[in-house]
Amino acid sequence: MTKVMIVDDAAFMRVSIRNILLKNGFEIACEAENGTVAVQKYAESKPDIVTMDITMPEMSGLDALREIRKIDPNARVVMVSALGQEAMVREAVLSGAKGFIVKPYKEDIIVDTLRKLSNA
Amino acid sequence: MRTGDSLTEIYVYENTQLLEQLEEMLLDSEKNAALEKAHIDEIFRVMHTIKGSSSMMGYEGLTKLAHGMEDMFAALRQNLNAPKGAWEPIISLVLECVDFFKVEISKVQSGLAPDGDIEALHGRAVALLHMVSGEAPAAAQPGKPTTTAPAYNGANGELRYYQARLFFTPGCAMESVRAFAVVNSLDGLYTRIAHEPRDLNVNCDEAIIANGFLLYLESPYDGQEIEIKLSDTMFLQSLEFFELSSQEGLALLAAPPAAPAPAAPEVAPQARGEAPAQPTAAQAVPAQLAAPAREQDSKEAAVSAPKGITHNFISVNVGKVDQLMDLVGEIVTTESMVIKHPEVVNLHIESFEKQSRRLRQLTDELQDVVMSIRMVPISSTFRKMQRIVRDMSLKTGKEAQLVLLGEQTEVDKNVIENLSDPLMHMIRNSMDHGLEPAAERLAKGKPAMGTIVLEARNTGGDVIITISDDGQGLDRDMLIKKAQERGLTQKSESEISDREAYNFILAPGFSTNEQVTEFSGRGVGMDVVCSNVEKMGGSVSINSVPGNGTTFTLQIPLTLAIIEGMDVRAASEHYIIPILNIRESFELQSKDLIVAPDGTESIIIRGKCYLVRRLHQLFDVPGAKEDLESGIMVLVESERGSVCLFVDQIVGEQQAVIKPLPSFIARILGRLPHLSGCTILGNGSISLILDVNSLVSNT
Repeated sequence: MTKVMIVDDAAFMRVSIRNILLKNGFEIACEAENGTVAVQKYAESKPDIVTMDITMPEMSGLDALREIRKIDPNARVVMVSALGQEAMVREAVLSGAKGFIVKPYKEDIIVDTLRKLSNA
Repeated sequence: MRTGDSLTEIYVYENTQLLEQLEEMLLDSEKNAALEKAHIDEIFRVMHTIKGSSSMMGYEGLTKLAHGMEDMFAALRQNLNAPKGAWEPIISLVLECVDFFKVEISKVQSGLAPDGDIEALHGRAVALLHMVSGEAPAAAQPGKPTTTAPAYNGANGELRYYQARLFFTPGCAMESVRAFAVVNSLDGLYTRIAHEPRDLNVNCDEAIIANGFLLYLESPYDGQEIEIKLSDTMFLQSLEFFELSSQEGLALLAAPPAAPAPAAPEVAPQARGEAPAQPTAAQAVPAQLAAPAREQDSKEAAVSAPKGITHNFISVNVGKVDQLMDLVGEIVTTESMVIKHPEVVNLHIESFEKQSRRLRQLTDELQDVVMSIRMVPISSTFRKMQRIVRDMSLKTGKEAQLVLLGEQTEVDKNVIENLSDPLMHMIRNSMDHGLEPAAERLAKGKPAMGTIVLEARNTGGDVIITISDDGQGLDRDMLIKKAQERGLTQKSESEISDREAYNFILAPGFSTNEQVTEFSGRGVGMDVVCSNVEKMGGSVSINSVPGNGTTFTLQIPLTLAIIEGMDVRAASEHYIIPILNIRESFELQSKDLIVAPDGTESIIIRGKCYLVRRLHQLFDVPGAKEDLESGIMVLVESERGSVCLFVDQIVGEQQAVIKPLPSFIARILGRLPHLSGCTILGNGSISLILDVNSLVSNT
């Protein structure tokens, strides 16, 4: 089963994503509420995929993405963005994000994205 | 009443037939994950036929789509080994085209124009065509990133030119950034690039949604590799990809639309430093657009009729068959009235009676034959469900198999038409809410693959259809809670039986899902299923074992059935008991009667105990016999059990054409228990027909 790390500063989002993923046969490796914790936990738990919120305190999702890619060049990170953050998402794409989804999203969008990534 | 001209009718009829056969064949193929030569030929022929007739009818979109599919299959006929892993998208595409054609053809049938947008499907057909007609050996599985260096074009990697148009899945948002990501992903695969819209640093989502994202590439690499890379894009709805001649390519790349590449430093702008050979203008790159020898094939196929269409059948207008049924019903009733005419009945003229018997024989035969014309095996409806299970499997990610039992059970054509929707809904329900995800199932010790069993069987005058799944079953407590919340019941939890709890699902507006999913809706489903079934004179019931699964049972009477019945009387009211349901009749000896303290009467027959039900009590008939010993007991049985019916008198055998009770009765009084319809007796009066099943089960 695919192990996912959920990174978002909002507890609501973490719970929401967790429920969707569990319902659809994914395993939750761990969760993180900011970039710093995310990088740390990535090294510890080595998830298959990471869902990364873009705007977070301490360290932004973009920076966390870069740090994680340094640790693991094959890391599969999906950015979770809101409309209006196009520039940040472009940066993320250039920094190696494997994909992105835009809030608000329907359940099947995130599930399809992660499934496609985990089969790659 | 449809007033299409006959050419349209033939168009609709023939193509619908073809598509249905195609679909059945494809679902079988899918299980083997490949297409055999015979199948490829068949698909080619069907697409060719649809292309031909659609062009005759002037349906440009359908013609183009069929043409695209025909081309792809022409290529497959040449090159029988599709690249590994290509069968799945090919089969999926054909199934989607079948769906699309069906929708468009039904528009034609309703007198509307087939105006559906074919571009997405056509684009995929073209893409797959190129994948199929390309060089086979180097092909990597679509979707898998190539780990080896991309293959060069020829020995020196001469430059080739490609055009791609991508459409993203609607609603994926930030199309401009996605386009940017696409360009980024092609990094290293091109020497020059141009795209439309040009500037991806500004918001051009609308333009991309409307026209797609257009790319022109100059590359020393094999087009197939680039195409595969592109088809890996997330949220890709369709990809059109083909090679351009160097003339076209150079023109498009050099022309004003040549876009400045995104500003970010890592992505190289138009010309890259390490570009290999100069594009030699003299090199005319052969366009690989047309599959070789396609022309010949088309001519061949034009002559032969599609396989599998020839049966010994004629197609008959359903309206005419309906008329026939009605007439036969009238004849049976009238025959009854003639033979049992009060003036004639007591004359006992032998030759008359002999001819009456002969007449009776003939009408029996006539009735049998006409009934059988309308009867159709339920297999076609059942097979359609395979498709639903497959699609739902893909959508929900849950693996499930559909087991069909009793496919050859015949039901009236009417029933088949009204049964599809309810069945589809219930199967979607099962897959969406009933079956658990594979992981959960394994944890419970169930096989990862869920099973849905669809069964049909005949019982005398009814068809019983059951849909069972081996999923998580229904949560009685949750259902009761919801019903109480919605005011559907005033009873307390302990007063409600399991059955009652499960049947709450059938009440309008009931939905226990917090998150209404896209597939099974918000409780609009089950109660509509119920009313559709009731319109056919049937009923729905639900049973469940928590943790093990749920079973839905549809009981549908055969419409316009003519049954052998026994006319019985209580006071001056007549009732018909289907003879099938009668075990025996007798006069009661009081010693055999048992009266319980609460007044319930039972009787012992050959050591077994049966409940007694008084006909006059059931229907509140005044003036009937009360003394059990002076009337007649009729032991009736159904699959749910047996009961003893007390009537005044058995009048005699009666052939009855079952007519459903008028709908206004149901509207005003609700569903009447114990009755399955009514009929006209020989003397012209009305008799109600008893539903023995209902009599037996209601305590």
